[in-house]
Amino acid sequence: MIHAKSLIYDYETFDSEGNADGVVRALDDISVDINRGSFVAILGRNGSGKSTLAKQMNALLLPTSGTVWVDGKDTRDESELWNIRQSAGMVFQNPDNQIVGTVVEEDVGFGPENMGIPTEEIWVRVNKCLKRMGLEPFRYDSPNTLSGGQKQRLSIAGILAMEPKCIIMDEPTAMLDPGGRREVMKAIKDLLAENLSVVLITHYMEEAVEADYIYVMDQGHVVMAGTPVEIFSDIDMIRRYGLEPPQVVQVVDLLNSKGIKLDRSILTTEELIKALCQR
Amino acid sequence: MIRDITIGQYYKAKSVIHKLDPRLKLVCTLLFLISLFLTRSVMTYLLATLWLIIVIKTSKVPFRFVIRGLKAIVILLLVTALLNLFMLKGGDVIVRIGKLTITESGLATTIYLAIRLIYLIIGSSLMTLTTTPTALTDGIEALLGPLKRIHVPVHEIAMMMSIALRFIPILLEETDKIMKAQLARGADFENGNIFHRVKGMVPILVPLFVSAFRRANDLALAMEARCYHGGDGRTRMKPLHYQKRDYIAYAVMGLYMVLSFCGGRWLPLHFWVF
Amino acid sequence: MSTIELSHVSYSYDKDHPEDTTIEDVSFTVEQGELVGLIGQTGSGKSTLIQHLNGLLKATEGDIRYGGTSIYTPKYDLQGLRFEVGLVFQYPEYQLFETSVIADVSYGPKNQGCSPEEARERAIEALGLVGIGEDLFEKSPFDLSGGQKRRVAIAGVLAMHPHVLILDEPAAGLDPEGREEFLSQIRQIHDRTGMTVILVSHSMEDVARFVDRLLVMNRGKLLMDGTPREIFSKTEEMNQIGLFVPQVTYLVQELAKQGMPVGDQTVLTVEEAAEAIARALK
Repeated sequence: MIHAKSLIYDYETFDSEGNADGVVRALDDISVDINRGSFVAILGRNGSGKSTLAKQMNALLLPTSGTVWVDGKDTRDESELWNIRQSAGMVFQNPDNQIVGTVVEEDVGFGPENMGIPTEEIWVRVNKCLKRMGLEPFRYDSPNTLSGGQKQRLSIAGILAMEPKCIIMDEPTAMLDPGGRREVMKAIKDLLAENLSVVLITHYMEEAVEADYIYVMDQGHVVMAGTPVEIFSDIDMIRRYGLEPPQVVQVVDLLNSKGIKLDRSILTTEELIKALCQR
Repeated sequence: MIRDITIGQYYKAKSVIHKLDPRLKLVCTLLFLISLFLTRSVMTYLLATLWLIIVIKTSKVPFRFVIRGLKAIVILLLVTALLNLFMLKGGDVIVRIGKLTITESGLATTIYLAIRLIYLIIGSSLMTLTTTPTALTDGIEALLGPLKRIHVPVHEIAMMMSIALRFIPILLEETDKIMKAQLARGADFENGNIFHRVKGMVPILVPLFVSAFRRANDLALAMEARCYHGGDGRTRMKPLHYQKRDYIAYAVMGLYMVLSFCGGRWLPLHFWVF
Repeated sequence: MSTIELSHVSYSYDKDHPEDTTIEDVSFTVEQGELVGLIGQTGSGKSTLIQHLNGLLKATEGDIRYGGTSIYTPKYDLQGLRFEVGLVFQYPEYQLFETSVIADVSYGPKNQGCSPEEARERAIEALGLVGIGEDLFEKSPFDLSGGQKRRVAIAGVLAMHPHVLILDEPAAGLDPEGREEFLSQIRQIHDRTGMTVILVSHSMEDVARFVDRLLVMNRGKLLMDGTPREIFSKTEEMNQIGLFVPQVTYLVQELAKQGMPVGDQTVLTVEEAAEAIARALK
């Protein structure tokens, strides 16, 4: 679905007078593959280049060198720009700063309007997406009256209405409370059930555990790549990149060091309970 | 305080007035305002009062919401009214308080002015209360449409208005938050001379601007990601089509204008001598 | 002593704004030097509550006493109270405004009436407490990274030498490493200065490890007040109000339900969980 090959991205820095005084390499030789229908998590410290990579995935930023293909289209091909943005939608961190409409249903219709979809079709899509994200009861409300979790679901609905194949989410849960985070995770699972690809950038390891594949970034490089089991089995390594493994993984690690041998592939509470009870 | 500002306040209800085309509502509001200034006849004002009562009733907006907008102009109203009352001279003197006098003409003008201002606010509040901000900006965009020919960026202006309407409550809340945060650092916004107070605003204004720019930046990115590229090739979720009820409403409005004008002209039930 | 006592505090905004949170009949006492966590869902009244503690909001009913004196006595020095009870709002980096880091941190002390030299001294000391190096002092606060900005903003409150420090979601948006570092720094500051610290948080994992006492708010009411161990033993009740106990707490509770002899103690940390399980398996 999305492929990046030897992607490099530089940006210029400016001094206080506005003159270019340096070049920073934000992404350095990145190659990633997001397959259709898969759930990929991108982890890493703040400033490691995760968000920059996300913006490359729907042509908000373009490579300095290397190539990014979205649904088979090169992001540098200007004639495909709107097709690319339509097939790879993006949800951002701050729920307030991405809602355009002053009424919930109108915000969902914003994307399709921009794409030039006929009016009747827009309504069909809006109704469908509101229902899918459970926002039907709020459709005539002002977005300002929604909770954080609801606002993010609205953002997702707005992207869904463009009928994308992939949704890229840049820390969608960072500003939410635990309840709101669960809402968003549930929404993500619904999307996956409909064979959409989801790219999730997050600081919450419990969320990343659910992914099919994880990329860990540091200083503009992809430093680790693998399934959650592969990534989290190397606790020392992921700590080096500023990440904290889920508590369950830490417990398994401690138990192993105490001589209680447990499978390193255990990532969730349920799995650990099962493993311990079978002993 | 800050939270009492009610720009673009929309009152959710199901009524014919809510359903009317925003273009119609804009035109009618404008006509209504004009009608208030056309004549100075009691008839006109009686008719306008009746008109407002009917519209408020059919709109199903509670009366206290309708007059909320008046709160903001109470002081303006009082000051202008008092000035008029005492400054305007003409006709017989009715009251004399020391050097101040109130004349017939002064009193009449004051009453007219107050009524005009109050009705003006009520009339336009009714429009914003019954029209969603989006519909309103759509209406403005459509009405200003002809200006596109002389290269006025009508779509962009309408989009800017609609975004402003969406972010006003957010930025007001933010102002409140920043103010509290600086108060918590011992800021004092209430005491001292003017120079001191203006200087005291810096800790609020700088963060507010920084935040507004950050939000604008985020929003621009989000809009681009959602394929926004100006008004070209854009379709409408809620295109404006006049319905039968809109034509009827135009007719009713026309009738009102004729009655208001003629009533004012030929049934001049004026106050006193005017 | 700077004890904070709340007795039957209620607060409601005017009737025109029913959507705002209110608080209802909240009473508790925080002694000097305590490290208290305040948890609850968004809209449970946490933020409203903490704004009462330094007099930014005035209770519609009830009384708040600071150091034995009601802050609602006529002519009470509220500005003075705000220097004593330092309040750091959520995302405090958005309140930075000065041209340099040091000037921004000096803003509070200057409002307190400190001389420029003294304000500067206090600023330097506060920046040291939060781990901001001298090389950043003259930089514009807007040029710093997110985490650094956050520290500078907190230094801005610490420089006022408060006796009580209230932090609203201080670790929100930080990465795991930053979060960990930051919270241990707050713990250090608490231990070193003997300051009372009230920490508002969404992260049960964090409060479980960092605080000695927890206050749980729900729908404007104070629902629970106790040690983290007491409170997290009530998993059911916590789930009902949308707060989820730490993963390890839940894990050990479930194991106990399955009949594993993990002991009666509610587990709060990874280490405790591993120990309990190891003991049960021996």
